[in-house]
Amino acid sequence: MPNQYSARCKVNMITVKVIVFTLLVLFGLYSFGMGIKERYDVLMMAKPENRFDEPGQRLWGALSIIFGQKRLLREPGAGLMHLLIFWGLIVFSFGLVQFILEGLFPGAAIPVIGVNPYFYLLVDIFGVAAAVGMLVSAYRRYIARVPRLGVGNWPEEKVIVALISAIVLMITSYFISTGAHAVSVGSDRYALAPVSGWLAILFNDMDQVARQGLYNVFWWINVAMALGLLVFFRYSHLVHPMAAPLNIYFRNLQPRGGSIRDLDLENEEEENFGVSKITDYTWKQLLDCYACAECGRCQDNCPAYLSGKPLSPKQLIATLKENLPHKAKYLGGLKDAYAATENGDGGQNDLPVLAGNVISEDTIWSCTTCYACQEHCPQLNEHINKIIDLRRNLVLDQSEFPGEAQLAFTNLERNFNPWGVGWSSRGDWATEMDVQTMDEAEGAEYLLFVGCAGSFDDRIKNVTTALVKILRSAGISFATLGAEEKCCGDSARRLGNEYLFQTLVQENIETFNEYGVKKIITACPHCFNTLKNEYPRFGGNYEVIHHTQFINRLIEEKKITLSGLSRPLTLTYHDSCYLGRYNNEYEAPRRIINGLPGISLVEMDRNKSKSFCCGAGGGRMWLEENIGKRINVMRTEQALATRPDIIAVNCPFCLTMIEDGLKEFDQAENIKVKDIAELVVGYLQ
Amino acid sequence: MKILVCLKQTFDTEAKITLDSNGKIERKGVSLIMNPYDEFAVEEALRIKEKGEGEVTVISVGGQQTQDALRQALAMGADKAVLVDPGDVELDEYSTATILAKVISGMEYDIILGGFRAIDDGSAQVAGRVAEILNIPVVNVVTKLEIENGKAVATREIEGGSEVVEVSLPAVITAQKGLNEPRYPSMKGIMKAKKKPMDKKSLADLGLDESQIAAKVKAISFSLPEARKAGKVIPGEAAEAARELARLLREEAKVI
Repeated sequence: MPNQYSARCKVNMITVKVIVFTLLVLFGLYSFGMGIKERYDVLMMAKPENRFDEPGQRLWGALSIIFGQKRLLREPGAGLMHLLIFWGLIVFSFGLVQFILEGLFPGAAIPVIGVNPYFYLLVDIFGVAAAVGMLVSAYRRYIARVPRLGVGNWPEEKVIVALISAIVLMITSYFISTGAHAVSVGSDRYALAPVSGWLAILFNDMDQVARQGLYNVFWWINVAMALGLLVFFRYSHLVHPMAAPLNIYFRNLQPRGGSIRDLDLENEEEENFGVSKITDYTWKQLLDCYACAECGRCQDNCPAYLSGKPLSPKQLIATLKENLPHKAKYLGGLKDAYAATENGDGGQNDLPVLAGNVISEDTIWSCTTCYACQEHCPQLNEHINKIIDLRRNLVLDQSEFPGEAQLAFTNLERNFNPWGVGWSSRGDWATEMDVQTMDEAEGAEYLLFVGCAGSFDDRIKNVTTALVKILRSAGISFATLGAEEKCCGDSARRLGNEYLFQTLVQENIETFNEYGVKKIITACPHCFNTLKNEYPRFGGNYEVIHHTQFINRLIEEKKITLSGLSRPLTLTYHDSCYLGRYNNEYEAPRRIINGLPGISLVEMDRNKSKSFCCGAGGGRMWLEENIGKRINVMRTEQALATRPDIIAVNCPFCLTMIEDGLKEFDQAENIKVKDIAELVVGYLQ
Repeated sequence: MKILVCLKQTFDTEAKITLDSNGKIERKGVSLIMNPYDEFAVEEALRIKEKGEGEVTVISVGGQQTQDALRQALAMGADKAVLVDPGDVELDEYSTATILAKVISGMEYDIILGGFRAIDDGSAQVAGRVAEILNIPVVNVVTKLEIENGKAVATREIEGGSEVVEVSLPAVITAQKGLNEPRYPSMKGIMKAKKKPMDKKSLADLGLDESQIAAKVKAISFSLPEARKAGKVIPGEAAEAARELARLLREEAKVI
């Protein structure tokens, strides 16, 4: 009975197929599981950090960031490529499940969708999209050679080539196989599917056996690629697709500046301050390394990198990733330096000191903490706190840092301002204006926190006096702390001197509380950010308002009116990092400017969240800039391209830096740099 | 090698000097620092120690707040501190040197370092006097120092140039700016400094009484420099303004 025999034969074939497939799946899942476990073990070698709060907020935010792909689409080109791959593979994978299932158990179908022609239409479209996306990525890497991708040599690239080939082959084999299959089963469910349907027509005249062979061979190729990817992820460093969603879930929910790690300086057991070895980072800081796809958006927006400094945020993450204490040896030319990690202590004792060794001091000091890298990172990596942790190690532990920084520290310690002007003269700017101090003006509603620049720098004192005139004109009840005010601590913290920062914070909070301060106005975005976002961690909770926000409010509430018309003037506005990116305030200053008679605002190419740092953030105000181009000159050039009469700023450091930049172009006489307060005071009635 | 460093706590260089109602220098509300020249001495002591074996002891004469300056030296890396609190007596250079020499004579030492002067009274006497009482040599205003085989080779500033001298140890060496760049205490250093020994002594502990250290020189009065007058801007065309400037220099300022 040949039919019965062939039927039994078929059953046996299917059994063998199922057994072989099951073994492969088990191996694939085992490898994938081990890949996760090995990386989990690495992360567990790092320091703890609580990123488990607010699960609801984390989940909803993550879902919208991940599935909306909005952060990626800020760049239409590369963003679209990622969108194609991401959504392509997600939808395609449903088709893949159906396809593999049916290959094992002929006739099996996922309920409802498995027999719906529209399902196959979608799978085709998204499959093609994913393949096109992968090919575009290959094009960008190997033909267009987009610089920021930093295409390496063959040993480094072979893993990437393998991944791209595997995915494209997986999708192609699906199409060939389903095309061949469609004819055999005589199904019209591929009627709407453009690729499978077209291939079915193409294979129509083919011999039945050859077609069946084609189906089987490409089914296995497809399965091999799909399961191969699971194995691949264990051994390759390309784990972005798995790590990035987690990284987004565990993102920083604190204010942006607040992602700097708390440091317990009273802990006498503490041996390292900041990060010495890679395992001194927290697990979340290291998860960033796994999540990074090395897309280079950070580098494209980094003023340090663009001005020729040795820092690239992308390279920083890549270097840290290379130095993770791997427990397994991975493909892709990763270093075997940690063979020792196989034994006992995980090899932590053999890990190298990072700062000044794995990552050069120049790299570490190049960062202006401008937040451009994090603003543009699609998966919310946090580069800046990693750099500050390294600076902390250099300052608090190794005591190795630029002499200019030491001078700034000593000045802050002794006279509570980075310039080192005698602290008792801090309030002297106010003598002619007769501004009251908190101890003279009982019950003043607002504390005017003047800041170091506004108190000591002759040019910036003009901003302070302008602001005082505005506040007086609006009848605001305010006072200063006079000589009792101390630096907010921003520069000390960003330069890695957490000890000095915390000392200043505690002393200021003590003074604020002594006078019962509730609301604070400040004309410096660094003071603003620190007082608003970082003092609460130390028990100082106040309503902190930047002067541009306050002035805007005064105008809207009609407490001041602006009028007068000179000749029409063109103005460009420079967003400071700490008001803009750090605190998301782009509109208040623009509303003020747009309400000034005769002023027309022309935006620079890099504006708002894409604004370019003036070069003074992160304590760089106090350091020499000896490597590469000067960042302030680059920013000034960008401003000059708008042919302005006035460059408006909201930050004393930016004002200083851009005024300096203008001298470089011999434009200091023709173009004025003005703080928003200085602008407004000229139109005050 | 036993290294001693004598240091003084002074007003911060940026401190605003005022006089109190008795005409004395007002000490309230002034930031106090380690005399910068003494800071060079501490740094040099630490460098000598780090090159070989050694122990650095810092010594000061002053009130309880002087501990801050000594703690800073300990945080930089010094091993021990000794503070002599003379109580409420007026000291001159003779008094301070007598106290220091008395403390030091009870200690082991191979070299004694100090700043060549303090930035407050600027008398530049104490280190020399200590050497005199201890009957050991002193080399002043040193900008480079090398120690080998029980000898010190020191480069010192002289008018219009420098001089290299050799001196056998023990000796007193005083530091001039340029000797080194003092380090910034690390967090570890600050933590360790809290636990390092600070030996506090009174005059009685040293076997001294007030008559033995009574000041030989007494300040009679202090006066502040006259406040600088505001500058004057001469407006007008350059040639005209220059003529006016010349006239004012001749007739008002009487300098030409």
